[in-house]
Amino acid sequence: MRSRILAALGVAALLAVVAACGGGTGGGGDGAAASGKPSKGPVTLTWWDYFGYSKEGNAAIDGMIKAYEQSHPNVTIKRTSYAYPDMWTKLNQTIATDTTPDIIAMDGGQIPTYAAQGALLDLTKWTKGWPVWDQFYPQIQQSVTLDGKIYGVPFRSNSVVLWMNEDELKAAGVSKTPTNWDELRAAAKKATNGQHSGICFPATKDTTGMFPLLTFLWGAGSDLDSLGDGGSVQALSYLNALVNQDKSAPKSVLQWEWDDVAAQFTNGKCAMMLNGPWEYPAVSGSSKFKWSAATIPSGSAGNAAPLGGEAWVIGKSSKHPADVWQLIQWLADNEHSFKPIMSGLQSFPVRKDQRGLAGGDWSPIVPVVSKQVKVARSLARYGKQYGQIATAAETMEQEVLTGAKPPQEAANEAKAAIQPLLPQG
Amino acid sequence: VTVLSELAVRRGAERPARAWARRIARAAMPYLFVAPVVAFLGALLVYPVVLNVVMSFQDRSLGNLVSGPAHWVGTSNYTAILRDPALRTAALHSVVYTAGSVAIQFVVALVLALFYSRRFPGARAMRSLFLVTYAIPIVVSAQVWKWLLDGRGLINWALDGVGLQSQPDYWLSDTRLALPALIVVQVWLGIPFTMVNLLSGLTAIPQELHDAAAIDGANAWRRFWDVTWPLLRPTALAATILSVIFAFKNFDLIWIATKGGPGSSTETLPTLAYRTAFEEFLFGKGAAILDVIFAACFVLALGYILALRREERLA
Repeated sequence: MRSRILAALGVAALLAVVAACGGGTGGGGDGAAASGKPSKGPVTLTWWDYFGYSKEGNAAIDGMIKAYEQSHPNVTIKRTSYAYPDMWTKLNQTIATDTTPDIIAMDGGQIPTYAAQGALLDLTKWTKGWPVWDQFYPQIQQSVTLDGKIYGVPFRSNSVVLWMNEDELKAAGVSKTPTNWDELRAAAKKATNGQHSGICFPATKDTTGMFPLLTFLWGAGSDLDSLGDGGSVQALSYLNALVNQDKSAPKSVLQWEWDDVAAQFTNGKCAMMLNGPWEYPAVSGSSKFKWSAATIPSGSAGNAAPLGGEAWVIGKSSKHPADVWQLIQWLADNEHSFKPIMSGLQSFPVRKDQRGLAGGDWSPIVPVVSKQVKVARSLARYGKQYGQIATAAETMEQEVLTGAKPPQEAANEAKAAIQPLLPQG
Repeated sequence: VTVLSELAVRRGAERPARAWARRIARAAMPYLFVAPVVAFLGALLVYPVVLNVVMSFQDRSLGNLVSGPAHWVGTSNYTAILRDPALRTAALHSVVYTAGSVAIQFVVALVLALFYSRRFPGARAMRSLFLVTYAIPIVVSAQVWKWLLDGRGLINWALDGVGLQSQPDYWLSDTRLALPALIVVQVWLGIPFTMVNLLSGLTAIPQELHDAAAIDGANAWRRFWDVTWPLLRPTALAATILSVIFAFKNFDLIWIATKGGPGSSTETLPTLAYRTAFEEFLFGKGAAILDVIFAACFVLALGYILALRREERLA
C-alpha cells in the first residue's frame, strides 16, 4: 500500500527518473531527418495504437505492417498496442521525456490537445502538394487541423448510431423504428420492464460521455458555446426524462463506458443503445437475438452526432520523420489499406476516392452508419482545451441526471466554465 | 644518533597521523553505510517532491514538463486553486471520506481483533484469510465493487431478495449515495490492515495482567477499559494515523469506480489533482493541488513518527 503513494506523484517520480536516466536526449527530430529523404540503411520505427481490442483489428494492423516491411526491407516496425486509456498515460510519459513513438494512431478528438502541447510534428509541408490530401472530406480534414496547421493523416472514421434489439422491441409492441425524439422516448418507455431497460448510452464523466451528450445538444439546436439556451435545456430535460421520469435508461449509465453499454445490449439488458460501429464484432459475435441499427432519431434541429475516428500522427521525438512520412503515404494508398481498415477497424470512407471501393461493405450496418457519418461533426472545433471543456459539460449532464441541479441552472454554470475555454473568434 | 633520533621523531609524528586517519574512517563508516539509502531516497523521493514544488510555481505543458524553459508564474497556481470552488468541494469530500472510513474501520477492526485474539479452533486460519483482501490489488477490488454496486449488481439483487428494497438503488449514480458507498468500500479495504496491527498490539499485552484484574473482580468491560485499552492505545494511534494517510490519498478506488462523479459528488483531492494534471494538462495547477495533499500527508506522517516514538518509550 505504501508504494501507492499518490498515483499521480508516482507518475511524476517515474518521469523524473526516466528523465535522469535518459539524460540529454533533448533536441529530437535532428536536423538531418527533418528535411531529409527516407533512409537507405536499416531503420526501426516504433508504432503505437489501441486496436488490440478485437481480433479483427489486430489482424488488420499486423497485416499492413508485414506488407510494408516486405516491400521496404530496410524498415523494421515495432508495434505496441495498448488499451485505450493506458495509451494516453504512456504517451504522456514519452512526451515529457522526449521519447515519443515515431507513428501513433491517434483519436481525432485528442489531436488538437496533443498538437497544442507540442507533441506532434506539423505535417503541413508534406501534405501541401500531396494529391491525396485534397481527396479527404472537409470535416475529416478539419479534424486534424489546428490553427491552420495539419497534424495528422486520417484513416478511420465512424459515428454513433441507434442499435435495436428487434426481439425485445417486438415483444414490447414497438413496430416502427424511432425516427424522432418523441418516438424514441415512447419506444424506450414501452420496452422497459423488470428484465431490461429501454435505452442505454454512456454518460460517464469523460470524453466518452460527450458523444451522446453532444448528439442530443446538437439535435436540439444547441452547442457547447451556447449552453443555457432553450436547446440545451431541452436536450438536458430530455435526457433527464429518459433516466429519471420514465426510468427507461438505468442510472448506471453514469458509470458505463462504450463496452459496458455494449455488454448490456448483447446480454439483452438494454433493448436499444447508442453506440458506435466499433462494437460490431462484440454484438454480432455474441448476441442471441435479432438486431438492427438505425440513424440517430432527429431532434427539433435534425440529426447530428460527433465524428469519431483516428489519424496517423508523427511523434515529436521521431528521429526518422521522413521514413514515417513514407510509411504514412504507403498507408494512405487505398490498395494497401482500404480493405483491412474498413472491415478490421469497422471504419467508413474518409476520402472521396474511397467511395464505392470494394471492401467498404463489410457489414449490414454499413449503409446506416455511412449515412450518420455523412452528417457527423468534428470535435476539433472545440480546440485544444477540449479535455477541460468535457469535464465541465459532463459534470453538467451528471448533475442533471442525478437530480442535483435543474437543467437550466446546470447549463448556466457549465456555460460560465466553458466559455473561456473555447477557441476565440 | 641523529638518524636514530630522527626516526624516533618521525615515528612519533606518524603515530598521531595514522590514528587520525583511523578515527576519521571510523567516524565516516556509518555515513558510508547509509549513503546508498540517502541516494536512493534522494533520487526517488526528494527529487520528485522538489520538482513538484518547483512546478507548482510554473506554467508547464507536456512538451516542457521535465526539461526545457518554463514560465515562472509566481503563486498564481495557488491563488487559482484557492479560488476554485472545486478544490473546496474536493477537500471537504476528502475529509469526510477519510474521517468516515477510518472511524468505522477502526471500530470494526477492533471488535474483530478482540475476537480473533482469543484462542479457538480455526482462529489463526480465519485471521490470515482476512489478509487475502489486503493482498488483492486495489484496481481489482475497485472494479469488482463497481460491479457489485451497479444498479443491476449483486448488492441490489441481495437487498431485493430479502425484501429490503422496493426500487433499485444506484449506489454509484446517486449524488447522495456515491460517497457513502465508496466509504464502505474503503472500510472493507482498510479493515485487514487495522485488524492485524491491533492484533499484534493485543498479543503483546501480558496475559497475567488480565488474570490479575479478573482475580480482583473486574468484569469484561473493566478489563478492556482499564487493562487492554491503555496498553493498546499507542498501537491504535499508529494504526489510525497510517489508515488516515492511506484513505486520504486513495486514488485508484475512486477513479475506477466513479471518476469523481456523478457530478462532483466523489471528487477528492487526489482525483482532482490527477484530472487537472493528466486530463486537462494543467501541470502547474495539478502540482499545486498535489503539494496541498503532500503537506497534509507530511503532517500526518510526523504524527505517526511521534506516535511510534511514544509506543517505543512505553514498551
